[in-house]
Amino acid sequence: MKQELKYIGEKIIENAYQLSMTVGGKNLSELEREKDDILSSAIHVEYRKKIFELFGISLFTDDMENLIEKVDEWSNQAAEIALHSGLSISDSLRVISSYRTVVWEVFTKELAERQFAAITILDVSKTIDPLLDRIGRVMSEVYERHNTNLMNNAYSALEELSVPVVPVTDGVAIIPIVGSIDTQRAMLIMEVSLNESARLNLTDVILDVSGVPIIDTMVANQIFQIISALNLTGVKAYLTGIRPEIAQTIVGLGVDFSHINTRANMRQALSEIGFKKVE
Amino acid sequence: MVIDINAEKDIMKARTGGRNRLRDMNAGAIDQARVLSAISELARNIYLYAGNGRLTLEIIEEPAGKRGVRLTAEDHGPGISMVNKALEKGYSTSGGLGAGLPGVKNMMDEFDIDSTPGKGTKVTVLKWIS
Repeated sequence: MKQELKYIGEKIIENAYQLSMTVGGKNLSELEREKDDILSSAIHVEYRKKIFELFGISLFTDDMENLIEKVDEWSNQAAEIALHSGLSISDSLRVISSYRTVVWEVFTKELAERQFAAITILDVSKTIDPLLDRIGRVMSEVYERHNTNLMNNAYSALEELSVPVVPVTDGVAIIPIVGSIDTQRAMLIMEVSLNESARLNLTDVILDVSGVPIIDTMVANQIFQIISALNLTGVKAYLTGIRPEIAQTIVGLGVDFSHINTRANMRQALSEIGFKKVE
Repeated sequence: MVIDINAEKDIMKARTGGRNRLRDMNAGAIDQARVLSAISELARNIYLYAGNGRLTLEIIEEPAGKRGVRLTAEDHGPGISMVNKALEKGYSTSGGLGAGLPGVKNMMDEFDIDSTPGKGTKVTVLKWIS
């Protein structure tokens, strides 16, 4: 039986290139035509050939550990290539599962003549299937890492957008805040508003919170701190855009805003600073 | 609606969930804002002092057509050793404004707190919606 396994292994290695081509030309029915072309491209075929060689070796090697290491290495790179080619994770996993059947395609004659013992076929599966599972797992991990990276990048891009300091004239800027304020964002508002005030030489800053859905005691506290810090650096800070229902809630909570320069709306604050329309 | 509070983002989740419920009830803007800040304060207390716990929102309907919202905030955190102090305005052990619990008590129609040091805290509030 060992001999049979070795025969199968060697034949797989011998025909690795052809097997790899088969995957490309298999036209995995669910895959779009365009993706099928990607799979048939020379670089993919060449790369895929290596894994079939590894499958072949796995059937008779004595050093399984070393082989598994190579399989992991292959899977990592395969995932990178797949990502680069724009294949989704489900497409990649579907292709990987197809290897399970593809492997047998060079044995059509033997299978037709029932030359292999059932136990041999079972042994081949018992060796190759865990490897396939492993490839799937490693590739998923690479995709997951990639997605986490993407998400982190998107989050920092969003963070940059989340504190827009809009200069309106020399020394005056508006910071419109839209969306909920959590601890992290409050820190960012503090940091950005202080830095930009120094950089732009601001004397007056209007913090507009009409886009903030709720002001609870934590948010109120953060706003106080931001405004105190701005005042400390010599910037006069105005708070505008507190909606009627928010005003009622702030009073209900018993939070004291009297030491804060609040104005009903941006227009009031601007006109106080000295803005007016010139006819 | 039941929201597990384990991270700061769960506070926002609780608020968003609460807002949707209140909109479905056609609650007015002021009632909405009050209940939402209560959700925010209670959820934040869980996150800040206990680390994790759970906030439940129930809609109460009485036969007479009276409607209300009941919030239950429950945790198994350190508990509050001096409940009366915690309900006093300006008292805080976390450097906050000390307005959270007294504020919630002030804004809601019914307020009940049950806290055992070392065991946890359960705050139940009710707000009738006009």
